[in-house]
Amino acid sequence: MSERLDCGYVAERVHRFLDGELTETEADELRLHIHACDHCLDETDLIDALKRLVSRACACPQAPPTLRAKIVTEIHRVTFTRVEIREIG
Amino acid sequence: MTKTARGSHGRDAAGVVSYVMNRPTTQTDDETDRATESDAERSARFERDALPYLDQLYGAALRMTRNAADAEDVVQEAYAKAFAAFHQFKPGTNLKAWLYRILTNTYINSYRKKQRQPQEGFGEDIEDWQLARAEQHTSTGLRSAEMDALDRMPDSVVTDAMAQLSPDFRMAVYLADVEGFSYKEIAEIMGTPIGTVMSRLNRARGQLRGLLAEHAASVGIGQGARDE
Repeated sequence: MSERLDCGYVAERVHRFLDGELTETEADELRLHIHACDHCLDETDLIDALKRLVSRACACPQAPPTLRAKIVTEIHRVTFTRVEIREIG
Repeated sequence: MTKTARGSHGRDAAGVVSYVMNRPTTQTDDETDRATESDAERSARFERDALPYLDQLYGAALRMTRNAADAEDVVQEAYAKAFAAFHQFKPGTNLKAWLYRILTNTYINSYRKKQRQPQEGFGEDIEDWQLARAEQHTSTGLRSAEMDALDRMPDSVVTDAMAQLSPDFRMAVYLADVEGFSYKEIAEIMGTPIGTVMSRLNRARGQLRGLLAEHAASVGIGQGARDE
């Protein structure tokens, strides 16, 4: 790979870069360019900020206790049904 | 094998009886014992291993369905299916991804088909007019000057923007950014090639950016208000 990547090459890979999907070698290549290019640095920072924003905004809510109770009941209800059959006769 | 039929329960009941009675009463959770574990043991194993993901799956379902009542239904159905299929799950493989896959399938097969809004369907082309509009904003949209605006963006604005994405885009972003799944895992969960995951993420984030830029513009931050 040439030392100077163009911005298009970086733009194509910036999501994979931020998602940790590039190899270290590929990531280093991109970092070299990004740190030397204001445009790509802005882009990268923005997408990174967007990722953090989504992660923060959608942070795990608690499931309602009633839902948990229903599921637990269902899991064990199946067991009881079968045990009952065994008890007959 | 016990073959005795019992009263009106007939063969089915007998089948269950022999199934239950032939099971040893003590088992470990070892992989090799899965085929012979009792129902009670499987229930306990499921509760111990799968239930801890409840909050996460509920959060994902909430993002998919966009309302709490439907999210509960989808999660409950997904857990029922997961429990029914739990004997097929290979311990040591990725249980979280397996559960997400069942959740996603449940959402697609049961929930989405019931939806009355046909435009909220499967494809990426659904809200194309809207997406095109949103993507237009990308080039003129949020810039580093608006990084501050991003940081101050209320959560509700972000979740509203997420809700405007097509279901597949929304899911891809959720799985990547909230759950931190790898592309490979997302591909497995969504039943698509990795290339599709990549393109969904790229486009979805472009749209999110456009929608957030629209919001920023509407409250007077950034590039100025845009027409509808």
